[in-house]
Amino acid sequence: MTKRALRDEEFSAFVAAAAPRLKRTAFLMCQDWHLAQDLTQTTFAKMYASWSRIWRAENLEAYSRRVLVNTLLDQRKRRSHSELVLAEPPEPPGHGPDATTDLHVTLLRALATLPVRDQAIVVLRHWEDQSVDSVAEILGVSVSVVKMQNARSLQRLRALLGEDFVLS
Amino acid sequence: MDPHLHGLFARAVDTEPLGPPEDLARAAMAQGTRLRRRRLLTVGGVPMVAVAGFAAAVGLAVTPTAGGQAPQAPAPASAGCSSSIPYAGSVAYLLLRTDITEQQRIDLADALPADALVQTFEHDTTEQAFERFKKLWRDEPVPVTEPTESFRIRLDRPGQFEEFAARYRDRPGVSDVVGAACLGDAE
Repeated sequence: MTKRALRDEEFSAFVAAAAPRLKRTAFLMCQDWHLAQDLTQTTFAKMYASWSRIWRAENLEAYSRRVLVNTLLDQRKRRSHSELVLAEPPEPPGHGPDATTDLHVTLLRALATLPVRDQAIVVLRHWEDQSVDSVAEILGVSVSVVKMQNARSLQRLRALLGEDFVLS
Repeated sequence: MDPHLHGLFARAVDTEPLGPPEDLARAAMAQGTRLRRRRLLTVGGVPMVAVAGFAAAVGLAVTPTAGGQAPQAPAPASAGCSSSIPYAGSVAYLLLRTDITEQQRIDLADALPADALVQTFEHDTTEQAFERFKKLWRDEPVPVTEPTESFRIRLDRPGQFEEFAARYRDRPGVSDVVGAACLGDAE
């Protein structure tokens, strides 16, 4: 088997293993499954374009998250002003039997009002369960920035989600 | 991790639509190959204006689409960029790995003039293109520490590219072999 074919096999194996989780992380940050699919594919495409350099890297999964966040940042820069205006803070969820059903929708809308990097911090910490150190490395920021922005973001989410939503 | 938040995220991703699994790896490889070609178009030492015109003519995306990714078109018709369309010209580029050793470089420089397929060759350093290359990669977490080198080969006869590429593609120190048309080189 040629070197290229071996590398392509390794890349395909990496994609198969990493794609489901990466796509869900992308969805939580953009709230659109089609866009999440596009962002995931673009992330893997960028990695493939550099594959001969990076395939031996220690933590490709962490690397893929950094590329995903940068890709999302690029995508946001290209969005029209009118689309940005639509990202208004959500109404606090109502009370009653449907309240819990609404809450995860309200959470995503609330998350969308945060800057992209802060969304990444919240999703990586509280969905992917990454450590503070790991999040700092993925995003290329200091540990103290991660802790501070995580705390501020949770405060904001608490304010937007209403008093029924209690964060630990 | 906040368990309540995690639970809500879990409910949110439960909305993931089911459907036939797409061949994500294949699509990513095709898109990634186009991305790599696009980056190489600005580091091959070829003037940007000529490259952009040529790239547009053969359907290569030089600038990203509004969706932030290269279009999902079939591989471009330009020869030397797609293995399904043989390159019929007579100029090829041996793109060298950034970690090429001096011995590997010497071995290539020794092998090329002795090869009946090779009429002439020249070694290109891409110092001038290095700064552009760094800007291109500024959003990628890939350390760029060395410029991309290449050998520009004039083949003895047109139509020998496939044979030449097969001979050199997997040699130590070689990153890729592309037809000149793929880099916008007017030969």
